[in-house]
Amino acid sequence: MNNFKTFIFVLVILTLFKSYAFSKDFIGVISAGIGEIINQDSEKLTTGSKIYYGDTIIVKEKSNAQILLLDETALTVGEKSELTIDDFVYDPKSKVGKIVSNIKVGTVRIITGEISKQNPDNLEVNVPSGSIGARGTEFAVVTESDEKSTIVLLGPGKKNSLGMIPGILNVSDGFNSVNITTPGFQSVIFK
Amino acid sequence: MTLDLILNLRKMKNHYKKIIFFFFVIFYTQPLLAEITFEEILEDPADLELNLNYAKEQEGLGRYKTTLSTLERLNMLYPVNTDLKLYLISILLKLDSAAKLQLMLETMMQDPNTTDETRKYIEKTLATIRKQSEPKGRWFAFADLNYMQTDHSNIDGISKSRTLFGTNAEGSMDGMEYDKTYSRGTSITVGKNLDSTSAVSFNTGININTQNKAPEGENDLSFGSLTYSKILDKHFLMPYMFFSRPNQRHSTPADSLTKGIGFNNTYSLNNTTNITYGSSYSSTIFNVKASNREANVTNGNNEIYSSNIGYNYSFSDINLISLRASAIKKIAQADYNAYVGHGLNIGYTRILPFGNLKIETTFQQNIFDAKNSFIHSLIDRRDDIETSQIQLSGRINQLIPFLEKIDPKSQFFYNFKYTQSESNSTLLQNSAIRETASFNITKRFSLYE
Repeated sequence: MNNFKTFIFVLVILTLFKSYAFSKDFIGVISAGIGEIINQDSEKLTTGSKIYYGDTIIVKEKSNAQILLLDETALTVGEKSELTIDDFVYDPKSKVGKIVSNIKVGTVRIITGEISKQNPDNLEVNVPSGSIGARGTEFAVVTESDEKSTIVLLGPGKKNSLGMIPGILNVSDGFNSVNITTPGFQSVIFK
Repeated sequence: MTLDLILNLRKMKNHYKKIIFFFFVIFYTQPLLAEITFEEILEDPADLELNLNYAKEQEGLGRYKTTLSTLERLNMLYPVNTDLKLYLISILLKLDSAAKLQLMLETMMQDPNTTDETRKYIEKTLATIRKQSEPKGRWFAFADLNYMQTDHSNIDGISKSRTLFGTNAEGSMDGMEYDKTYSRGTSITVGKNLDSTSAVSFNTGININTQNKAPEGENDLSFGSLTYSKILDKHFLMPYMFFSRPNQRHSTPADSLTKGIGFNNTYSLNNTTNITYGSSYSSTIFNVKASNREANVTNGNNEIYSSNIGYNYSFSDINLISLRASAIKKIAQADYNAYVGHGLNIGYTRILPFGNLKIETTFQQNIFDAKNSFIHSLIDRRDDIETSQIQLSGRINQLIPFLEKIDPKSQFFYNFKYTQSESNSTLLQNSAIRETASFNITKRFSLYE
């Protein structure tokens, strides 16, 4: 009988360990997938595919995608782009969390969600040559190479008729930083 | 627990019941109002009908970034759907995302799927954007036509005890209680955007106010104001000056002229919190005529100094809580008309798909400078006034969506308002309960933009 108990105990531990070790946290979906989109394991991603913590999204030539994260942050990814969601923690009740995304190459447009709204410092977008902090806004990142990225503030504008506060971007190359406060203005980060 | 709540409600005053009832409706009907959840969208992000309805719902709730990301997704998934593109353009225009809008419109112009009708619309929109991009001050002008109807439960302010004091003696108080008033008005506003952060505007107009059963309260009210606004970093500054002049139709109440200056400023602490503060001075002079010389109308001449400070906090994009404290000093020619007052206002506003709902309560205490011997030579006057208000306002298109076809610029506004005011005074005639319910519609005409 003791052997049976031990067997059950080991089985339960293994089961728990398995679910802990191999489950991945769901953090969002490919809300629109046009063309060829794959993850780090070369699995094909289509509209509705789930995105998990630590996933890398690769959008091939003549393709594009929109990623919708659980905090309603929307990332529109252009062709020949690659990005990783390195960190994503979000509590839907308090709407507090943290996002760290790395854009390795390509064009990504970001509409900030609840995490940035609660605490703008908790949304961090890294590019090979620097990093971007965003405050309640929409912006685009164009990473041409490891040496150069262009960051453009898109909106909302100061004359918006919706009572929205215009956004602010803080762009840093690791040594110096600059704020972009006027939509349409851009900053280039060189390594 | 619900039963306890209902039983307790029965013991409370009417206006408290109404406020609690509305809070109950607001919070417990939230799931009904926001019909489509974000989880449903995550489950099915490509469903055209579901996502389009979600975009409209979110727009109605003032969550424009969600509307934008949803429309962009649908535009990617359904690239030949012109209606989606036009809807997206309208949102980008409202967001003032000119660079992005221009890029999108030029892409659409090159798209072979774009119809001739859509091309014309795009060309017109592009021309507007280019015009708006010109770095110069721009004039604007608009006219408003306004109609308001108000039901009054106690138009003459009959006291709760139906008695009054007169030279220290108590007597009965008679007068009209229920009646209706009607106001038809027009105004014109002309202004200029001096640069991207400041503007100046002048507004003038007239309201014709009539009463259903009695002419005593009828007048034509002409008014005007000059306002300057300026954004300085986190500060929004708005100094103004104004005048108003009622022309009474009945001979007993005297005509008067009120002139004043003031400012209403806002300081944004962050995206969700701001502080408002303001101050004003006004002076009212009554006209002496042969018909009212005996009535000592100049006793009503007064100067009013007032100031206020408020705190506003918004949460979940669609809820705003506000708290405002105010102080007022009225100096009058007759001391018994002069007083010092303090007030506290608590408000809650919620953005609903069909308009903005606002519930507020104001507690006001006025302590008068001197006794009025014509009323009671021994009693100092002190009024404690509690006013509760429920208001729903917005664009008529929000209430009746098909009206968008006849009012595409959304320049037809509505306002429903219910107010209950209870005054408790040391003087019998000033303790009264008044209720009013009003409906107001305004049509705006853009004259120049």
